[in-house]
Amino acid sequence: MAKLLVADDLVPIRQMVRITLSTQGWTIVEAKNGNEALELVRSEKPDLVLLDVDMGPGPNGFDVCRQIKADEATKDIPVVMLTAHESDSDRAIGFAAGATQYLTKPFGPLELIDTIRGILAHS
Amino acid sequence: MGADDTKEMIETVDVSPRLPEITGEEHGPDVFRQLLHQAVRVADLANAQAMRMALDFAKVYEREQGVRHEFETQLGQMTLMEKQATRYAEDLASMLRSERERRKELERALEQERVANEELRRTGLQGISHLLLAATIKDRTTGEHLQRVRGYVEAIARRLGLTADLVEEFGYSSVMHDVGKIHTPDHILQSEHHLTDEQFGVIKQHCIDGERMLGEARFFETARAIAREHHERWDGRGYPDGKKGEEISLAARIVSVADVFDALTSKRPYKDAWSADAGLKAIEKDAGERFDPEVVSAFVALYREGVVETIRCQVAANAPEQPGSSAT
Repeated sequence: MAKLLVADDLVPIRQMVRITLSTQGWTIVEAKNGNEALELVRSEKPDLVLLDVDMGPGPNGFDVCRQIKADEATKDIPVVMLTAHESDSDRAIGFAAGATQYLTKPFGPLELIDTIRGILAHS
Repeated sequence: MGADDTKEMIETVDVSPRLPEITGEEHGPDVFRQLLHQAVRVADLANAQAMRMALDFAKVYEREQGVRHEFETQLGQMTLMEKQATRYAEDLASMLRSERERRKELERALEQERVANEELRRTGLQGISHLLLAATIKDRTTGEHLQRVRGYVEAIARRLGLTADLVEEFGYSSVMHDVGKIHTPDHILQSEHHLTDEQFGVIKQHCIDGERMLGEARFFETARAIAREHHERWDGRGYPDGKKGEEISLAARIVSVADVFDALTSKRPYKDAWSADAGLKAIEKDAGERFDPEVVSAFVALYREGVVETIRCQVAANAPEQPGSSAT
């Protein structure tokens, strides 16, 4: 079964994501800021990472994504941005940082599941 | 509806926490549901009210104190969470709707399959009667013989405690036990003399042919086992495979008793009909050798209760309607 990391500073968002994704039998690991996310990516080696952008102090989601992609050990882990930043320029930044997909909040459960399923099937 | 009615209904309603049924409509007017609706609306209003108040207070506070953006993050998160929750609720509602549609679709498909199955069953049973007619004309085995065998088989199966479905399946399957004889030459079938080894080999073949003729459909599964195994013996000295004991299917073990008893008590080209008592004695004597002792006990019990005699009389009374009965 796939293991997924979700990084978001808001507890209710993490809960929603966890409950939604656990219906697919996936294991969910949670991080509440950028630093925690980076630590867990290295120690847990998840199959996919979901990143919020604004997560309080520390690196934001774009930074985290860049660092994941810069590290030889983690660069193949697909990253999905999950953020309220919906402008085209933000999207461009996200993809430039190496994100595989860019979802905006509010997101729907099916959208989330389908996106992740699609990426996992290809990797 | 009076206040008392409502009270009574509330008391009888099951309020254990559980998800509403997807096909909720059939519950009818449901007080619990209405109360829940009300509660959700109140909670919703309170939530919206709280948000408005927070936003207003923040605005006033910021204006009066001359500070800006102090609560921007929290307020932004609140608004985002509200949008997020709404989006989830909408999506879940639409999933529920499509699930309901899917379920209706499924029920329709199941109904269609049931109709198709019934049709297949009828066709199967019709096919059986054609097979029977062919075998009866060829073999001169009377339709009455098959009717009696079927009657005995069903009575024994019932007596052994099998389900009604199995009793019926064993019954209709038993009438096909000799379909393979359609390939057996007449001079061997009707021989009044002792058969040579070679001729006996040909006779054995009817079990194998019968099984093959009955194809691969699930509907004929039991019939195939019966056709193949009804000449096997409990002690393993039967044919064509020399299976023994419970290697032989129960249906075939039952048919074997019913078939032999009826053959003994009927007139054949090479012998007169035995009395029913003599037939029963011969069956009892072979229990544990030729026949499954449990099946024999069931048959003996039925005989003592007069069930066997009843079946014989019923078949004799219905005789003119049986195909091929005039052939004897």
